[in-house]
Amino acid sequence: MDKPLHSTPQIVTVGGQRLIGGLSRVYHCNHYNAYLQMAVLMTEYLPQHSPQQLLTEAVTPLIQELRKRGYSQQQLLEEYSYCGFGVLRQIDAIHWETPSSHYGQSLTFHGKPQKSCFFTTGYLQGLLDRQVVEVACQVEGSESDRFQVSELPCIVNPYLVYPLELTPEIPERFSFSGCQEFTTQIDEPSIIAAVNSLPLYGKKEAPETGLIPAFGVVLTHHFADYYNQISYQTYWALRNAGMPEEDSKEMFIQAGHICAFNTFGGIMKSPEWHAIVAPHCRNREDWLHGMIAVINALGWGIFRVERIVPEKEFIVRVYNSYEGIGYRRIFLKTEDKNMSFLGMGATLGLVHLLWKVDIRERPDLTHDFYVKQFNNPQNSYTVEQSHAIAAGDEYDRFIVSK
Amino acid sequence: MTYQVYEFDLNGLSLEQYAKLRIFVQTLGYNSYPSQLSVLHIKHPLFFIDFPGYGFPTAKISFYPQTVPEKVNEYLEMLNGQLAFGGVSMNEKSSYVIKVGELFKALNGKRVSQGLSEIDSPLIASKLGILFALKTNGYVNFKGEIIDLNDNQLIALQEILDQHFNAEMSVELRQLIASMEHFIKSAEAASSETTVVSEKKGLFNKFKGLFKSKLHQESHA
Repeated sequence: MDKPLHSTPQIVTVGGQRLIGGLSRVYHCNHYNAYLQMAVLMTEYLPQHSPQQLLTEAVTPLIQELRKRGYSQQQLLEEYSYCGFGVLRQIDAIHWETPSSHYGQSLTFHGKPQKSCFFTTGYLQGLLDRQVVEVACQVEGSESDRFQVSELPCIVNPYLVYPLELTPEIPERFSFSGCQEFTTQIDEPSIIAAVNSLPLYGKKEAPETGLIPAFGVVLTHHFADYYNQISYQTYWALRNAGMPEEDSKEMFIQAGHICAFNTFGGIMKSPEWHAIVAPHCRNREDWLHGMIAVINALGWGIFRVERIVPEKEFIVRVYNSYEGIGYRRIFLKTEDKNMSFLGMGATLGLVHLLWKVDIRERPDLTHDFYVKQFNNPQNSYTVEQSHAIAAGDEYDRFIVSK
Repeated sequence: MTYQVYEFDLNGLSLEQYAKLRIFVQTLGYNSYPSQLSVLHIKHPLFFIDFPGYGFPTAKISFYPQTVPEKVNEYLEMLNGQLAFGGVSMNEKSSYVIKVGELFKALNGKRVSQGLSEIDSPLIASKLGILFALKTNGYVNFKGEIIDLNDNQLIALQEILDQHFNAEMSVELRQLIASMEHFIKSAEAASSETTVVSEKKGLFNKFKGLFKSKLHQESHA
């Protein structure tokens, strides 16, 4: 009998973070991963900057860190599948392949098809301590993604140079200074428990894919630090090249907006939502509270709704946001408050799902719908970040308004 | 119709400096007085320039009312640079005008014809803005209505569309680029119907020093 594709790793939930092997993990969908990778690759024309190398080497030190903490090669291969990256296996002494892979199969790009499994390449480098190159990719039409291991050692400096510092005191929902008085029947602990009970891990039943299809998207249980490293290094590379601040941030915020459309939208259309959450919702604002409860199970931090003025204003705080916490693991404190790009885009997208389009009517979440209605500039809201953990604040705070 | 008019001082220019500046001005647009040797009347979608013969004290640039302050600023800075250094690079001249909306429409048309998905305009504009800036080391605003590109920029645009949008657009680009003369006539026809008066926005303050000009507004019949 074949071995199971993976066993369940120990997940520690602390302060809104989901830690596996001591590293923060967050759920994100294929749309976000595709968009973010595309945004990073846009810097390919920058001199002395390789986005491909960044996308590859952002994961290598994380895998090396897991090995330092006692992970075996088998555990890392199992975790690759458990977290939804696909099935990674060795073919011969120097070749590996992913017959099923998130980055090879689930991502869509605008550009010419090209090898896209930078993450898996970096994962293997961390696993083997050797330099690895992708030699075939499903994006280019190959049956599987294939990787070749060289004899050269792989030396990548760790980038998590500062300690993980979480805020221990997170206020209870609706009970902090400045919070509006809410009356909602949304039971957040029950929703979080329900989400945690869902089988959101790589599929191991036949046919084993190691992918996580859920809510109409394909999820990954990804490394938060990977996202932070590729996003912020790219952002600062753009700024250092002279790109205006707004242009440099726009693509990353849009990635969050697209993430909300597909993942939040998919969740709010799902049978699970309509069985567990929707019956307790009296209005669109309850849907906001319900979705915030779901988000609090994704490892993104602890979201606390501060204020809702229907169809006008939505303010939310995020304690231990993975972007803010992660930024401070890589960089010194910044002066800029608008630094949690995913949080800004996702919060804006959440508001658009309720107050710009009406997700309660279960529209088809097609690309055409996104372009013509959801992302249409008409009737859009704006988002601003007033507080940022990256800037030394206790929490991130997003204000979405019209 | 009210134009924003800036005069620039030609006093003190050597003949060589005058000649270089004159060549530069000619690169900016279409000369509507081609038969006159000494006087240039250069037309551009955003402005026209009256450039006199050598020895006259001032030349004049008149921006159409709908010209946004950023563009006014851009062209004044350009002229200011020429006055300061007297050098002209013919390779930098803007030759091709493309309507951004039509470019995006053609791009999506091409993609759809290849079985690819459409891309929303804000995303195309953002991507192109960044890619173009990094590839050419020059910023072009794809969020506006038109772009004007030189030869090298047009080639860069074609390469970016091919590589990053999977759309080989050389044929479409040839169809999209308007001759300067044609575009000016269209712009003039449109502007003759408008009565919008632009605000000065204090732009002149940015051009103290080398650019000895004065701002006033003129009404043209």
